[in-house]
Amino acid sequence: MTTTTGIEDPLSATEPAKIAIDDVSITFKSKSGPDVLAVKSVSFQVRPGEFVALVGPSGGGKTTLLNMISGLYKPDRGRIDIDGEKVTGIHPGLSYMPSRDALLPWRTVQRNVEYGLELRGVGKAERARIAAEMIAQVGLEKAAGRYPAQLSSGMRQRTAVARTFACHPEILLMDEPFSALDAQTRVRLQSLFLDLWERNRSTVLLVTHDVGEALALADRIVVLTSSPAVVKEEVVVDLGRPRDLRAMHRVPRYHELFAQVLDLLDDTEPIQPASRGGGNARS
Amino acid sequence: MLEAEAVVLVEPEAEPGPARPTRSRRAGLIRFAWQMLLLAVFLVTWQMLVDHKVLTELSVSKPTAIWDEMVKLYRGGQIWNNVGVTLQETVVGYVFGVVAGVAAGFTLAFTPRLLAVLNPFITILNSLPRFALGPLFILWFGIGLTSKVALVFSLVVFIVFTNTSAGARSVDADVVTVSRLLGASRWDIIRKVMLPSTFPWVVAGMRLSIAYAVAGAVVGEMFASQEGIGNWIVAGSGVFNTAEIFAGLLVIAVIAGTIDLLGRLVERRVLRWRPEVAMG
Repeated sequence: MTTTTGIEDPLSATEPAKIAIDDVSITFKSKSGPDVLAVKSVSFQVRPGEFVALVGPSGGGKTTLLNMISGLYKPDRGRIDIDGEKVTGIHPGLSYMPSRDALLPWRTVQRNVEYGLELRGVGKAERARIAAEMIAQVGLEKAAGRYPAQLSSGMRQRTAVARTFACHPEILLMDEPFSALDAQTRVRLQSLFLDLWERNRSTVLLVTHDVGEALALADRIVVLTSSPAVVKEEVVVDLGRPRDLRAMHRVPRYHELFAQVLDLLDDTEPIQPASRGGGNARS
Repeated sequence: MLEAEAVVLVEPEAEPGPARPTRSRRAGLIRFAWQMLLLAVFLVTWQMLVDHKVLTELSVSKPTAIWDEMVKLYRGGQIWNNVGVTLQETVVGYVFGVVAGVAAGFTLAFTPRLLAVLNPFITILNSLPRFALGPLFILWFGIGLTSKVALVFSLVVFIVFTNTSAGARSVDADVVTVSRLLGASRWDIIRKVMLPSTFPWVVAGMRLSIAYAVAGAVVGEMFASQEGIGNWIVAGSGVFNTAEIFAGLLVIAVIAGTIDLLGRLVERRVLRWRPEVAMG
């Protein structure tokens, strides 16, 4: 078994964690009904250049965790460090990809890809050059002058990928970025994304409920329970790199890992309080 | 005629076919021909019904009489003066209304607590038929330009305000989050996200209120005035000159149509990126 937990697999002293999440909890106050504990005592670490997937049921507090790492929310308890420094606001080396492309509809593909650079004060000629390069890398040269409304959903998400990498982010937070795409487009975009990432090697934290996606892309999977999110287990994805996503299903190890993660997720499913139904079939 | 601009979802490799624009241009021409034919049939029927005494000329006039009236008014020079006065009232009231509506819409969108306090009053004022304020404005501002400008303003400001504040509040939360994480400051968010994303709503409000602005000016003139198209219609009605009334209506239609066409051209230019605009 390659299953490890954060405790059994301490980071070596020579390589400090890029992102360190230590005993983090957050509760949301609710006007109607009881307060909601969204994340409970979560701890895990991400090494520089590592690709970690957070897997768990949808709506189970994973996005909240991302929002705390990005500095949008403050945890009630525990602390989050990036490069050994406590997160207090929005980290400048960070980029974020939501499941919807979140492009600016009034900007062309070219200007959308330039957007992050523009916000970071990169000069006009320089950002036009970088954007054109990124657009070529995602294969949208001919669509550079079009508006998002004139693109297919796959092309829009490619634009979002180009925008994300144009800033050369140190840390990339992704919240189910490919979930809105059809199966074929999704695999194409995942491959494209991996290609770009291999060249860039940002530290990636990917939130997904899709076990196949997590295995295809990540180095390590952190399995979370739902509402509140608690770390269930960490699974190392020892599938090597570079990976051929279309041939993944022919790798036996992929299926072993798939079954393992699925079993872990199955266990996280029941969220009824223990008090109810003493004679529960589940033991 | 708008289909030529229609959006085609194609992968980058595909080139748009050259046949499309020509085909749709011909479709546009055919449609235009039908529209002209319909108009001609309407005018000829109208003329014949009156000529054969099926309808009385006193109540509905007839196309040739209206034309003669127009020519007479044109030769006499009154037409330009009246149109000028009405246009001036319309434009001044409209510009003030748009500026105030946009300003109020943004201000209240950014101060939700103030909006919550003012909301019932805004709703009451908005549901009040503004034309009914006409006599009050005459009382306050006299029978000259100002009272009509006030009426136009009161109509335009609410439409633009409602649209602006709705637009400012419907900004895409994901876009704001992505922008913030890409390093956008508060001012960046306002300038690069809020303003452009509210812009189509403002433009929609501006277009919608054009017709109300013209109506406000004309109705204001009908309450009390010495010149303007509304005055001209009331004068025609006073002496049972139906042709003069219709001539006035025709001029209003031409003015409103022209302004709306200009508005649409501007809208198409500034909102090229909107799917609704691109689709026509």
